[in-house]
Amino acid sequence: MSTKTADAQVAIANPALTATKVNPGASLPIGKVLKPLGAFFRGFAIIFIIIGLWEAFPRFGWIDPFLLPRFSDVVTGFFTLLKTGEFFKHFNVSIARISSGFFGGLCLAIPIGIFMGWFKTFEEYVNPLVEACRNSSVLTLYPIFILLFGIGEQAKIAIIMWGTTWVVLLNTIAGVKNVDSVLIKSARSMGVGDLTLLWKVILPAATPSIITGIRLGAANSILILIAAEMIGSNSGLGFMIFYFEARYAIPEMYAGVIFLALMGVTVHEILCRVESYLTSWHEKSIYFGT
Amino acid sequence: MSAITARRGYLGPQFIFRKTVAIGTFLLIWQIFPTLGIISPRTLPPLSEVLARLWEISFNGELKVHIAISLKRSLTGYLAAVTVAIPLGFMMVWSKKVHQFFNPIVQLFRNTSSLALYPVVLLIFGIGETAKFIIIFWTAAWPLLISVIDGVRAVDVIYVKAAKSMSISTLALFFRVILPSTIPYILTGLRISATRSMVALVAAEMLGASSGLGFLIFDTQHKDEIAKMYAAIITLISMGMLVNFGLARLEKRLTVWKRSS
Repeated sequence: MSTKTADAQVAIANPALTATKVNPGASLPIGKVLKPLGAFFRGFAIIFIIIGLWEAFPRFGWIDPFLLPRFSDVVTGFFTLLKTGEFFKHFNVSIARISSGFFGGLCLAIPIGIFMGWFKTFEEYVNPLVEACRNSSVLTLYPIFILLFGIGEQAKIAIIMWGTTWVVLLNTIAGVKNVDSVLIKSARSMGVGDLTLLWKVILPAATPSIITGIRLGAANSILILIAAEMIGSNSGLGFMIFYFEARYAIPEMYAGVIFLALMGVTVHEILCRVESYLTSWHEKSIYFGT
Repeated sequence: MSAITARRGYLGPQFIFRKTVAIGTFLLIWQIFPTLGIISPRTLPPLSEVLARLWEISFNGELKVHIAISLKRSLTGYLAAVTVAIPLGFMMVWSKKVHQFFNPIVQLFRNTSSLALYPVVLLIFGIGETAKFIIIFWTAAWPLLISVIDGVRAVDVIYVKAAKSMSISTLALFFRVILPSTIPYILTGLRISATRSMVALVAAEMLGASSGLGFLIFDTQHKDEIAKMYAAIITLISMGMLVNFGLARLEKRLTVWKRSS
């Protein structure tokens, strides 16, 4: 994110620099196929090296294979989990929790954030409380949620919602508040009403900030999901890896850990794509005419 | 410039009122609702009761023990992360090739919730201080590493080119150009990873510990000593906020030169 904005700043400062950077020589068609393929292997070299070491170390007995089973065993373990359906059982539970908590948080935070960004005085009064809530560590509050909602789905969904809400709220407020006043004034001078102004000017201008909030909220919600499932639960992916550890089903445990890692990356990647798609107009306006 | 004048003008009683009214209302509700029975006092004891309990445990030494242990755990993990991650971050962006080589693994781990790795850590190190150290270290290291990498990549190319055109040595380039312009990023990284290490600390103490604030919170919940639980939560949250606030202030002070431009 920060590098992206920095790139954008460089682009503003020196359009000629980016113009050459964008397409370094449209090369031959063969290059178009081979280049990305080679780049793929070179780009992920470290991943392949790590997998290779993971396979080799336990195989040659340099690490106790009980603590670190061979990578191939982990993959086999994952397929076994898929086949027996045990994986999907936990996966479905986790997805249900995280999607209701995360989307619930979004549905709450974005409208309230727009409202608070719009009514700045109100925001000024409430801001300290919002900041306090955002800065209080979520896991610390989990016992309170258990107390209020009992050990069940409600407490987990509520804590995920809590973890999502504040980041998204603060980013939405910031996005709405920091809309370029020239844009608002020029829209007003064309006699635009409140609703149209909100829909046509403020929301599009606030989108980048809101999306950043959503991305951070998603990362938070995955973290909280796993914590909540580890602390008091008997289903879900977070529970699953702990259960396998306790039962000494080590390859399956590693399979679960890898899956969770890949899930985090995938969600991040998707939201980054959405971000650049929804803010493509932003980018274009910078490159226009160069 | 504008920030300073704004601050001067805003320090009146109206400013203080604006800053405290929401939190004050919240605390008032916390006191009144349980007293009137709108919320069961068993779920949410009145604020006065919680504060009384907080007063009690902070003077009979109980709280001090847990705070000391939690602080020791989080500080060792955090400081180890700082000493390892910052130099490592600089090494990882030494050249474009090195950066591209390490990038996939950095991307993978920055998005991996460190708690997902906790079972692995427990398996290898057993339930003990080492496991807690490792998980706090791990959680704190990644944000720092990433902020260093981002910071170096955001260094203005013009500065580097200008320095190079004056035939600066690599070492001097690093200390005179790269490091100073990376400092704001490192400071942000320090703050983020301090917050994260608190989260990891609580999680580690909730999942198998017999001391520490995270343990105290869960233990009192199981023993149904709810007022004490809230007292512990207040302690932990205010500790987190204090750290965050302190580092944010430090960040602001050290990067004044940046905002003025």
